[in-house]
Amino acid sequence: MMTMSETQIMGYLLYSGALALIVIGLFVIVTRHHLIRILLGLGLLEAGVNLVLLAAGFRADAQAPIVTELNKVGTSMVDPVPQALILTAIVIGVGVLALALAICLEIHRKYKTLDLRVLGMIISGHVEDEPSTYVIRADQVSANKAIVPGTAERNV
Amino acid sequence: MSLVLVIAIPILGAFLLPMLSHRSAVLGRLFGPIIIAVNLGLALSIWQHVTLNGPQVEWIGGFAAPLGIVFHVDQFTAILLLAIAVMTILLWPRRMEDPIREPVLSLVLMGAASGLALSSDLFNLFVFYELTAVASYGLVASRATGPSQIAAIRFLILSAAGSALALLGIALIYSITGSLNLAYLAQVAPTLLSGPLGMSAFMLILIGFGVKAELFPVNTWVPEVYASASSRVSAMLSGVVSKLAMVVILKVLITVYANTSASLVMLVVGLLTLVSGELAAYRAKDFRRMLAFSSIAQLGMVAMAFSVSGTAGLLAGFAIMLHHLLAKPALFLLAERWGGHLDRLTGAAYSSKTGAILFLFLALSLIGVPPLPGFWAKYLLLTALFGHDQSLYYFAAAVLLITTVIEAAYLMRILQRLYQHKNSTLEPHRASELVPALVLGGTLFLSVLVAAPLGAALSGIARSSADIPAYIQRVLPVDVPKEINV
Repeated sequence: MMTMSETQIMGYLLYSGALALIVIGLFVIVTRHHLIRILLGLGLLEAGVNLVLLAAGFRADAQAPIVTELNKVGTSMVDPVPQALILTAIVIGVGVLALALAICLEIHRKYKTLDLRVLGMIISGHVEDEPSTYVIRADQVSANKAIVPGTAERNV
Repeated sequence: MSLVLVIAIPILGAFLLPMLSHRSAVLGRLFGPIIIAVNLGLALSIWQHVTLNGPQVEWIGGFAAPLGIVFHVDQFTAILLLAIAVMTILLWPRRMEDPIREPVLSLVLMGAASGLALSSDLFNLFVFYELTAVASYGLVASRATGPSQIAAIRFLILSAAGSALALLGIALIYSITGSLNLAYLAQVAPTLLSGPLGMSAFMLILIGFGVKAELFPVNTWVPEVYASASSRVSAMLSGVVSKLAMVVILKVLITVYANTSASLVMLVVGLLTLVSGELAAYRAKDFRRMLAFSSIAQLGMVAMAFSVSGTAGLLAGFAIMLHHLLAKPALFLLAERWGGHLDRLTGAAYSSKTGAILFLFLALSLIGVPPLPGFWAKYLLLTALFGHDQSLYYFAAAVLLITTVIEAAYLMRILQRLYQHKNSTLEPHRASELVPALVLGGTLFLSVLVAAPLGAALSGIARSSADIPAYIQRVLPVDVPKEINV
């Protein structure tokens, strides 16, 4: 049994932690250019949202919502619905992340880079299918010398 | 008969398809169309049942609302189910060299899209939305070219971030009300959800589901995906999936946020989407990108229509949606041969006469030349906007007329190019593209002939969809206590 103030503190902690995760996640997605980092940001964002759901059903003085010998019907329990929702959301998140990583792998095989700025240049304005017809010059991606190592011009 | 079958059969079929086609190639090729035909039959029987007996409710697992999950079907939902099945069979990959994943993902998309149409529970909507999303990422990437994979991953990042925000909105609604059932939420919304927290939940849901509904400003994926994915996939995404995402937003808007400032937000978002879409389409130098931007603009018009409360707005929105659902996939099918820079189209009318005539018809209908169906859709939207006595709605009507001029300008520019005298190097359309496009165009053409009864039927459908008290009565027949202890 916690006192009232401890319950409140717990609630604030949950919500502020969730908010921090969401903000960090969005910040990473918006500001980073590396696909793996963006996907990590996505993971943080999803974790934050799940924490908000968890906090929605949280009660400080309650048990897990499982009826057992000790935990009889009628004792106060936390709301089970958000927990079921979170479980579903986590599974969906894992599926999306796995698909995203698979696509990243394919992209890296084709272009040898996961930098969204370079990838964005490849598809902006170009709609033909043959990637070999595009030329990416190193000075256009000067910040990413590591991706186009030591070449002034290179067919991607 | 159970509504769940419409969702379960395609998804079961999607899992069986790889195994069957591994055993026998002929069976694998036939299995997909059989599944779709079964679904089409189911959708027809649901439509007939709903037309005769009125809207139906099904409690999943026998658990009554608001505790259980509810499927709700009215005439509009039944039409959506029919449209999903018909579009899937028209856009079914026919070529032999197609890898197995495209048919599999098409079946998953069909099941998930049907689920989106039926569901009337916020979290269930989210789950089907995500399933639709995952199937569409896979379909975009299934062409296995570099640009389509880059487009797919950028689409995935934007859409997944949007879904997370939508889920945040849903979590906020749950933490305020303790329920996710739309009918229950509609009852408690005026007292609980009209505050700033409730409104921010709507904004989050609008941003999240707006990604697939091609709403400004989360529609940056649209041009690159439609330009690099195969035409069939673009047609499916712009024809069916975007409409269903819009229907999800509509469900939330008319049940939970009716008579709040949410409809003003919807109007402004719709206006920005319309204007940005038409301007970008005017500047586009590439046929598919132009179609993509034009699709954005049409979805903006739908959002504007839904922002008008009551039957008039719904009627206009349904009309524009159904018109676009038939017209834009046909145009994307034509783009299979006509993709790339607009200059390539010069003289194309002489190498593909039928395609050019079909384009002429669809373009005129999109612009809204009477008596084509596009005219009636725009006319309904204008009347709906003028029926509102707020100045912003008059402004929206003015903007709609101005953007129609822009739309006419860029579509006419292409028509002019098509009929210029020049030896075209373009290949003529193949039957596998032309036949579905002609079916869609032909349906639109037939709708001109039956415009009056069609209009009457559509306004009946809009009236029944706008009747929220009756909807609440159906979903929650027993009196549910107004407060649930959270």
